Amino acid sequence: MSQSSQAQPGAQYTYERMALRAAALLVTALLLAQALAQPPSVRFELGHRGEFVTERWNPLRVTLRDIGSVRLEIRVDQGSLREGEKPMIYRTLLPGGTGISVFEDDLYLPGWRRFSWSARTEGSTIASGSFDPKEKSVQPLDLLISSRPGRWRGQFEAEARTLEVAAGDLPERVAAYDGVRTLLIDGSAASPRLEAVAAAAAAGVRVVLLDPLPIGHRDLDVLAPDPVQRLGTGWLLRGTDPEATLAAALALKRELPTGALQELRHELDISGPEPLPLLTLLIVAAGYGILTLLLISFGGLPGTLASLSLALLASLIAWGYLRPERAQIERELTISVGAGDLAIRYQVHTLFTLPAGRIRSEIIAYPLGGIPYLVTPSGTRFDLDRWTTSTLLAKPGLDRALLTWEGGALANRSDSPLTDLYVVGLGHQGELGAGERLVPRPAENLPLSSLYARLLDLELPSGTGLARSRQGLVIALPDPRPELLAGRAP
Amino acid sequence: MSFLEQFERRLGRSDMIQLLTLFLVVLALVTLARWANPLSRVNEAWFSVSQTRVILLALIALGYGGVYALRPRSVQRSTGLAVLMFALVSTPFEVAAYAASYPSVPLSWALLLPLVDTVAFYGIGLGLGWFLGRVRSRSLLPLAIPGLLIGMIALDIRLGVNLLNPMTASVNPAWQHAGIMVAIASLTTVLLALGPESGASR
Repeated sequence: MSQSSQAQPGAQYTYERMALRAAALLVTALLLAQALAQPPSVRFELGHRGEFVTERWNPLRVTLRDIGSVRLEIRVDQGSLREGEKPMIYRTLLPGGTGISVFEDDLYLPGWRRFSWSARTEGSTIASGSFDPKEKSVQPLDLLISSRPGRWRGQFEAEARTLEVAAGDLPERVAAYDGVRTLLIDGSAASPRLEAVAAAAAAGVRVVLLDPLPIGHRDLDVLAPDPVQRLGTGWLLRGTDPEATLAAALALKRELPTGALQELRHELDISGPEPLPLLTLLIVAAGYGILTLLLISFGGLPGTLASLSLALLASLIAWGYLRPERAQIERELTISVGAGDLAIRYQVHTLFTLPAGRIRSEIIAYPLGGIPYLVTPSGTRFDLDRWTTSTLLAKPGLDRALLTWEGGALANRSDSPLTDLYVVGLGHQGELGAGERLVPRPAENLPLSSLYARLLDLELPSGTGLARSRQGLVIALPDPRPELLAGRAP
Repeated sequence: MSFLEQFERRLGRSDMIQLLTLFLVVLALVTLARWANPLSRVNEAWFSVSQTRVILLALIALGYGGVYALRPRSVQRSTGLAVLMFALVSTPFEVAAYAASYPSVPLSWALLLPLVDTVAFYGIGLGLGWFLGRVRSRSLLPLAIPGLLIGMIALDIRLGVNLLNPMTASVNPAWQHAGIMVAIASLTTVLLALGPESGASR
């Protein structure tokens, strides 16, 4: 009892001390939170680590911190002093909120002379910026995932735009790598995600893996089991001799880059409706005029009424015969280019409009010819004059390779037959049924279709397979050249 | 003589037939000149046909209105309807050119504006003829008719508006022009239909 009566003051003292400590801790935490709290902000980043490539698709990342919905607008003036302003506008609504919100997309950056962006909330601009035309460059990027990038920079040519990037910053979208030429991974930094590397390779990037890679990079073995291989339109190379591997990679070129597709737009030329021959028009107009005058001159009141009926009938016939069925005619060509399991899907879209007006396309694309246009998440919008044609190049996407080389045979991996199969260097091979394989043989040289002829003008490598599918055109890039394979097993 | 008989006789007169022939020939030539051909696939015929048609109709309506301003109302009515026949029988040229050219102007505009403008300019011609009669200057009518039309066009250009110029309005829909012309055409129709039979004093 006495013990307990003696213990009470000590316990009270302990509780007080604990309460004081807790209060002090709370105050300290509050002060620390206040000190560390960051103000609401908008971070705009175009390209890889802020480096973007003109006339290419570039990744776009906007990070919002503690800001509600923001209207992002990017304005690019493609015009010149002579032509005046030709704006390309990218506009989207970014849903923000408490904490950090990250928005990612891809933006085609045309040739520009002014480039600015702004982020607005209701009634006020919360952030904006612009770029100096001196930053404009069409030189593709060489990305290095390395903790010692300086070691590799010397391997690239003098004008190369080498850039050290963090593995976590690599996007997983094919279009984001349109302006990238090389991706080097030496294992000294964190491993990038498999999806990002696959997207880069599919987009045409030469991916270089410098062995030995640490255990954390083992995932990449799935993509690159061999020293040299194609994936999509790109390459995957790996080797233990860094200099030799990198030198071999730098000697490789990108097959069928996005810009080359512009040459194919002529395949989709639309010439508009066939006009009524002038002689026919003359005969019809003269016949109508004479008949009308005869009815009015000699037909009296019934003749006058008959001339009105004739006018109505002639109008209806003229309308039915001369009016084109559609105000707009569209043609589309989808091209899937790949190797291995992956392919990149390009889409060329041509639109011919009879009346002048605003064209709304649901695809995310850019029109050729430097015309002003607006891109939103719902599509692309631009104005066209009457009787004009415009060609749109859609944002490239990742696809499954439908036609691919498997050893020495071409395999159709689609669920429908591929027709008009042609192998560069061997000639026409006929048709390839769904799921079938074919070992191409040298064949008789038959006349090429204009589309194939245009593609061959793009200097496709020997062994490239071309075929037509229900969706469009499929292209299978050949296996690596034997000499490359022989030289690349360091 | 009934109104319809009067109208039929009016339309069958040689001056009307000759003018209608010339009118249709001009429209046919303009259509042919601007029609698409293998060298130029773009069909621009409607823009020329529509402007030519509406300006010729305005000129014809102004002329007949001015000349018949002091005639009995029944003659004015039958002449007005005969002038309107010019617009009606030339419609197939407009429709054919419109169909082949595929302009963004609404078809209703292309069809209705020439009719409204014809009636309106006929009314303006009646007013002009009446005014020149009042000031005893009817000898100026051959000059005043094209002069008035040119003046209206020049005024529009000078003011930068599209109120009175039928050529601009025919290919660029302007509701101000339509409003004014509908008002004048309505007034003309009411005056012709309900006005005193004696017509203007002479």
